[in-house]
Amino acid sequence: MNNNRLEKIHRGLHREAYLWARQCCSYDDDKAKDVLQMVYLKILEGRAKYNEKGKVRTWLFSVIRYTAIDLIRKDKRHATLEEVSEPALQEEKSNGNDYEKLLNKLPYRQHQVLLLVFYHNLTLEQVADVLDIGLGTVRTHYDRGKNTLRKIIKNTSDYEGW
Amino acid sequence: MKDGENNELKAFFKEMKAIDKHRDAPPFEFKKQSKRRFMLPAGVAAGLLILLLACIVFFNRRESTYQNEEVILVVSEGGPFETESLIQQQTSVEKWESPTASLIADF
Repeated sequence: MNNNRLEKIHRGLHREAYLWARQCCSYDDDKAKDVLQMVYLKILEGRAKYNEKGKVRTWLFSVIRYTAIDLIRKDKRHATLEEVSEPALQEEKSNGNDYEKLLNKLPYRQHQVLLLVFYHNLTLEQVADVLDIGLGTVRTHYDRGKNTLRKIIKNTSDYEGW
Repeated sequence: MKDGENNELKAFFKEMKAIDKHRDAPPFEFKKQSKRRFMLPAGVAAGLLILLLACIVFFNRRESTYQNEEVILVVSEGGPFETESLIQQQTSVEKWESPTASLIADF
């Protein structure tokens, strides 16, 4: 795939890629921009190669996720993404609006599965590819995530009149 | 789980998307970072280094020329692998002593 074709494809996916990068970086705009730039550089230098098996979007989302994890791990202010799943900690670190703050209360995997399914309209199979986990595991996180988010929304609406 | 049960969550994410519609994505920059940006300072640094080295070599040569003028070593061949210095220490007249001085008894 030549550079012009690559550029055309990524230009079309740019906005969605940015939003996903932002979601992978706890809704931090600056980090999301850094991640996206690093991802494009990886692609241009051939360090991230699309093997033309699945959809480009699924592959790109996967590269963005791994790059965001690397960046956050390098950042000394954060520990690891897995550790950031604790709701109380997440609420403190959240940079986003009310919706984003509520989503940050979810455990990391459930958070990402729900975003990919409901926000980015991916199938569960595609989510499994992006997160590099089994379909069964995705289903478990999907069901648990939905229940948890419903409870969070209900609790918030009870307190804040949502 | 029935699809109708997801309506609440779908509405939640729909509202979230509506907020994100107003969010500006960064400009699309699908290119490698230009290496020219780093070439100018690197060129200046290299130039300065070369100038510094040239200065060091020049002053070292000047210094060694002066030393050559001041120190003269004269050597002669004493054999295929020997050299002997012709500079020999002469006995000073002020320090001269008669070889028979010890025979003079001062009574």
